[in-house]
Amino acid sequence: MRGEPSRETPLVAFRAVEKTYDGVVNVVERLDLEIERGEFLTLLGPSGSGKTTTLMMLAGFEAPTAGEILLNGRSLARTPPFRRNIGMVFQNYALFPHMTVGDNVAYPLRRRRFPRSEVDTRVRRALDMVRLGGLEQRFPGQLSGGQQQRVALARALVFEPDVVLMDEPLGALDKKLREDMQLEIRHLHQTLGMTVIYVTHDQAEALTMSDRIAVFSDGRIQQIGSPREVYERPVNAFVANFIGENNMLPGVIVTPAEPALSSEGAPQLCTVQLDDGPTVEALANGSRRVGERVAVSIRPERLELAHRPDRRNRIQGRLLEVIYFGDHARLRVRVGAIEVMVKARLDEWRHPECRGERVDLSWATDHGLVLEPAVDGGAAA
Amino acid sequence: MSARPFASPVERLGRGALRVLVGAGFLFLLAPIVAVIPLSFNGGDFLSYPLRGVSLQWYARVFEPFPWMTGLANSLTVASATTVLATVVGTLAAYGLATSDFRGRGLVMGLMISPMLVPLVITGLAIYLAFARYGLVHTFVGLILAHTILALPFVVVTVTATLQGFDRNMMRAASSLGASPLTAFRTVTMPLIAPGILSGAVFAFVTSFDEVVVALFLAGPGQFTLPRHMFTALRDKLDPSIVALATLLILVSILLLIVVELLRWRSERLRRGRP
Amino acid sequence: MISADQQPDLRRKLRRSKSRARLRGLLLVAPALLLLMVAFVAPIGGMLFNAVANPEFRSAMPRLADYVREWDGQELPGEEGYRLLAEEIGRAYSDKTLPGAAMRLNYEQSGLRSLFMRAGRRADRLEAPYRRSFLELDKDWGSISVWQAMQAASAPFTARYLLQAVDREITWDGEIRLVEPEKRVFVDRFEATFWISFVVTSLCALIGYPMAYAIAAAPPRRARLMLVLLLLPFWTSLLVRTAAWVVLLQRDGIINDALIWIGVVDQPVQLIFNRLGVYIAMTHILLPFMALPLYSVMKGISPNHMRAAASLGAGPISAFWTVYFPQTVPGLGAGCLLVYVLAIGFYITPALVGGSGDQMISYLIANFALGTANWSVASALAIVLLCCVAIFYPFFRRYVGIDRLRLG
Ligand SMILES: Nc1ncnc2c1ncn2[C@@H]1O[C@H](COP(=O)(O)OP(=O)(O)OP(=O)(O)O)[C@@H](O)[C@H]1O
Ligand SMILES: [Mg+2]
Repeated sequence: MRGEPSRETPLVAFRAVEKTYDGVVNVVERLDLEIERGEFLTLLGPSGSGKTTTLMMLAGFEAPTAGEILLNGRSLARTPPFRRNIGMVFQNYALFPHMTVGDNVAYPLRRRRFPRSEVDTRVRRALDMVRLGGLEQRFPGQLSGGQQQRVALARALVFEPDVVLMDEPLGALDKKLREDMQLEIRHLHQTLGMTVIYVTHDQAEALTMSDRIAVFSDGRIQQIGSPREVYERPVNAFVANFIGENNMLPGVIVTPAEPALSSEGAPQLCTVQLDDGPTVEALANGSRRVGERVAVSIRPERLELAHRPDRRNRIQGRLLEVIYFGDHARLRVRVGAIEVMVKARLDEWRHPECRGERVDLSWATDHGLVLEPAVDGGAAA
Repeated sequence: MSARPFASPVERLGRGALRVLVGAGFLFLLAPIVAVIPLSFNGGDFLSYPLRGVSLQWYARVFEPFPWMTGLANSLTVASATTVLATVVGTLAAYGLATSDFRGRGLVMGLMISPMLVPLVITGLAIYLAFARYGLVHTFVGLILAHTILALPFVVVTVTATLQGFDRNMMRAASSLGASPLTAFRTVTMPLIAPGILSGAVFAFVTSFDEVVVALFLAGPGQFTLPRHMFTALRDKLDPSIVALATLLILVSILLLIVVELLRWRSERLRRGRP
Repeated sequence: MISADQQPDLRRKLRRSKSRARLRGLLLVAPALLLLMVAFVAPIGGMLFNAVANPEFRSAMPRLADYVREWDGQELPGEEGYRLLAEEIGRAYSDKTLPGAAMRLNYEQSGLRSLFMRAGRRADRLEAPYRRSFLELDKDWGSISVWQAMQAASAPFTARYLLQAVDREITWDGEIRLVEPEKRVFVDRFEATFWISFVVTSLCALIGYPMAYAIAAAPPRRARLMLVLLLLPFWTSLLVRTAAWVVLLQRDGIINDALIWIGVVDQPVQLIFNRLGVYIAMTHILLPFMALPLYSVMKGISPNHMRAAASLGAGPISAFWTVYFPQTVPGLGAGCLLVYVLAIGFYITPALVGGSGDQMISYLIANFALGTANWSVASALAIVLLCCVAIFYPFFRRYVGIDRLRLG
């Protein structure tokens, strides 16, 4: 393909990409993914789900065993990493320890044979941007973790690459610094308008920073969408459990969605007979059969403690434990055979701890989602 | 460690015994090297204490052209050529072994270090028999090739150890920033592993400079190295000039040891990113 | 997961994507590999060949060799055989290949060297009837054992040198037996070699273990200094150290002076040119090879292990044996293996500080090669020694590895 890439061509496209290291297991399976110019895309998933591998293939350090990757509509198969013009921030920064901060940041410019004066101004600008102006002469070993991280960022941005890849760039920082840096990266993205592909296994980080999140598991994208979509409308139990906390109430479909009411693709309302309680209403993504085993997924913060006779969705349980969190409290409640977690505001829960006390829980209909029942609770997809 | 009021008598006894044992061990290691030095300044003809006056006569003997100075010249020729050859070839091999994964890699690695373990007499004999066919016996080229084989494992081991501490992401980072593999090697890998390569080179030099068994097989009188002359001298009669020579060689070893220590220190500082 | 029928396909894709990195690795390794092949592996292979090759007789007298190969070995050959013998001896004498062949025949039966050389010198006087002519020269030519010796020397390969290296010989009718007691020299040397190596390894372990422990337990700066002191002898030339021991241990050396001064002895004792000298000098040289792997393992053991053991109720001694020592076994194993394998090949040190009964097998190899130019026996001994070292090789790769070989 030649000429100006049209507006519709995505900046980066993975087409049926597969990768295996050992010839036995695909660590990335038929990946189809498009990334728009200027987008902040986060790859989120548990350890070993293939996130780093995906980045490495895009950067050119690993070759796909099948499929192809396009940048600006052109296949990257024959482009070596150093001609791809893709910036990368490594988890342990990979700063060159024998070069000063200034030389580290100037490195990509020197490789591109920028004139000396241009190199100097750009390096200064990049370091100012990450608030490290004046530290050019230091060596990486003389900087704190957060400062090193920012040097790595400046180095990856200074040559204005088409895409910047970041593989858990904040993994080595403590919580406070991490949160500062999240904001900083977010601001840099907004002001510079670059395209970022960001890898993390911290879901809070993914939610706060991204335009879109791709949730990975076992080498597949389970769901891709805006943080809100992924959080509020998880398509399966894996996503629901992996992002945020989640309660799963097992049950059986009584009435599937009324076809008349459903428009194409929109969630549909159905009725579910819970194993341990009453019949409730919840939203389903696809059509469900009568008698199908499902689970109703509800976020802990969507469960309300008050007795609300006006609501159709109500369950009762016995309080097991109250855990104090400072800004809120969590209640472990036993409902029949299962246990649910409730996030309560402190003013909502004024009582002292009363174990065994009966509690009423209710939720708004559109906060319950019908998903397939989770196998073994946790992270199973 | 010392302030342990609750240490039982057994424990204290154990610690005391350990100290004595370790002290004795170091004494054993260092005593012969230290004790021999004063004898080299002996005014008399005998290699025993008490010294009969102080003189530099044996040093004067060392600096006479034959045998020691010609031996030294030959040794330096062979050792420098060996160092260059073994360092270049060994570094390339270590780099190839560390950065790529091909079938038989373990086998190749095993082969590379085997000259270190095969008894020198066997190596010497085998190479002698093979080189005799090509007229390489009693030539510098033959001796240099044989010494390169012996020095190779030291270079491979040292450089491999250096590369193991080398973060592969460093090369990837250079590559993502626009450096071709060769440029990345020149600007990133090379400066970081240079101290390791240099200490490999020092090892190679010492291996060749001290080698006598293979020289026994391959060196003709024209190639007699310093150790080869020393071997004859030690076997025949203990000439005091050999002690003077030994003292000088000990000084050289101390120097080389210091160089290697500095290189290690430099390498560690480089790794940690300090000036 | 992938179904089984997809797997070959997956493997092929994988291979393609990896092949370039592999090729680059191979290219980088190639020069070293080539050098090793040409100047190390091939020579050792050649030496193996040398130990079983039997070319001397055949190359000097090829037609006679073919003739005795055919001969049934039962009774003396007729006139035809003696005619061939006369022609071949005459030719071999004139083109100067006879001495080698005569030497080779002498290994089969002593006395044959002079018998053949004499016949060579008088070859022009040998004439028909050849058999009579030979018998007039020396009546030994009528003995069947001479022809049997020629037959043994005419085979392309022979096991006699390898057998000789382990004090065995093969009789003419194929029986393998021990050589006469006064000729049994090699097994004895092999045993001495293994025993000396064993004693030296044990001494190194006994001295090296506490030293390595002390270095590992010392604060960093002191540990560094101790390591340097440990390495200094290692960097000092082997000959220098051997010379130093000769000076120290001789009859009027410092050690003897000290012993007399203390009053342990009142006559100088023989400390060198005997087994004791060999043990002392070899232990001194090999000690760093024991202490360094031990130290590298000990350095990796967290002090918390001993603290945990103490908190769990173990006294210092039992904590050492149950928690610390087991963790150092890999280092001890690596050190012992390294020292033992290196000790087996020692030559220079025993040659300079040992008596004649303390020489190791390497000494014999060098002696046969450089002294008497008997390359076949030297090669055979080298092969046997190489096998003794090779036995340890798999353990070596497993327990020592390349990391613990790092010195300094
Ligand atoms: N170089 C390699 N050789 C063989 N297998 C590998 C290699 N790199 C990764 N793998 C395997 O591929 C799978 C995916 O690894 P990857 O590094 O992409 O995961 P990840 O999602 O980045 O995990 P993490 O969050 O722990 O970094 C894992 O099972 C891992 O063991
Ligand atoms: Mg990863």
